Amino acid sequence: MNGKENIDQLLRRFMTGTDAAQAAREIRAGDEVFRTHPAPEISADLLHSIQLRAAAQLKREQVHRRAFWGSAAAVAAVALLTGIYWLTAAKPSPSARRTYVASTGVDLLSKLKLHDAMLSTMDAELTDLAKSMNEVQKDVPYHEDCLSIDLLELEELELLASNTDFWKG
Amino acid sequence: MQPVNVYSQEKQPTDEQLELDRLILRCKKGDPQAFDELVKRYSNRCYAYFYRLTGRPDQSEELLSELFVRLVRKIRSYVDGSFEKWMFTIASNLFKDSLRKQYRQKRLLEEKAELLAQNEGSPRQCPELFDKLQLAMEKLDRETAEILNLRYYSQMSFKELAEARKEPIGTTLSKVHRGLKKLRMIMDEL
Repeated sequence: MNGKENIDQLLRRFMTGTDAAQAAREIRAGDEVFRTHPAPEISADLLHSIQLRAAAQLKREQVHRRAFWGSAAAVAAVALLTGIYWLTAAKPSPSARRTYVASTGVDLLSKLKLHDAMLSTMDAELTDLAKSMNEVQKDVPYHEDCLSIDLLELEELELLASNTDFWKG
Repeated sequence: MQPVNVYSQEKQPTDEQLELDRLILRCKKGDPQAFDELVKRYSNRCYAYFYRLTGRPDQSEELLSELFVRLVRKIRSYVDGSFEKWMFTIASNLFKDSLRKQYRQKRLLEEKAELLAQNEGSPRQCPELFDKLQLAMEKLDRETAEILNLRYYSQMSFKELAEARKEPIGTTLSKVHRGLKKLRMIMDEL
């Protein structure tokens, strides 16, 4: 019908030679019915109104597309500016970075000094503790509280000796 | 049976095809004159397709107008292949959509039958009623009527038609053959 295909050959792929020829004839006769009974054609007014409607739709599409790309460009510009801001303004400049490093160094030094002072204090305390230990080892009472504790321990030992059932409660 | 290449002509684009390609390219670029040409070129065929399916000039005009609005909206999505196949697939979907909305379709056909009985021999009042093919078409089932109209007015090949309908070519061939036979039988009876 439309010259795009050979119906006889196409039908022969599905039918035997005689059946295919018969079917081809019937299809052509059917097409002839359409040809001899043309559908009404559209009026010039209708054609014009459809063309106008299509043109209006085209205009609308173009406006939408322009608006879309305009918005997309605005969003891209905002993203770009934000990126630039983060890369430049939010990130410290080299001089600011130098100041930061210097101040960090000063902080570190003062902390080290503080730690040194704490260490020397602890060192002095440890030295005192060592001295005290030496004195204890030499049986030299160096404090009254130590003596009172020794006496309590003696009393306890005496009690244990006098009452052997003490441990039973 | 040896396979035969029945579509050898498709490989060589004709002048008409090249002209159509250029027209579509212009449409894609948003040239309003190209759309005017496209409307002029296809409006009668598309109108006939809708008219044969609906049997109503007013509804066919509406569908035709809507079809071209959709074409303007979707033309950028057409990439390759048969333009007719692409366009008539949209037309077919449009018709099916309208059918879904048209819950009164059956009643309208009944009204038309009543009109036919009342207006014997007055073609000026309702010309579509006196188109024998149209009457026969209305006696066919919807699917058969659609496939016959789609094939004739879109001028698609059986291969393209089968692709558009997403069915094997043998099935399409058989449906068209049986449909045309039935149509002729109905017309003989009228």
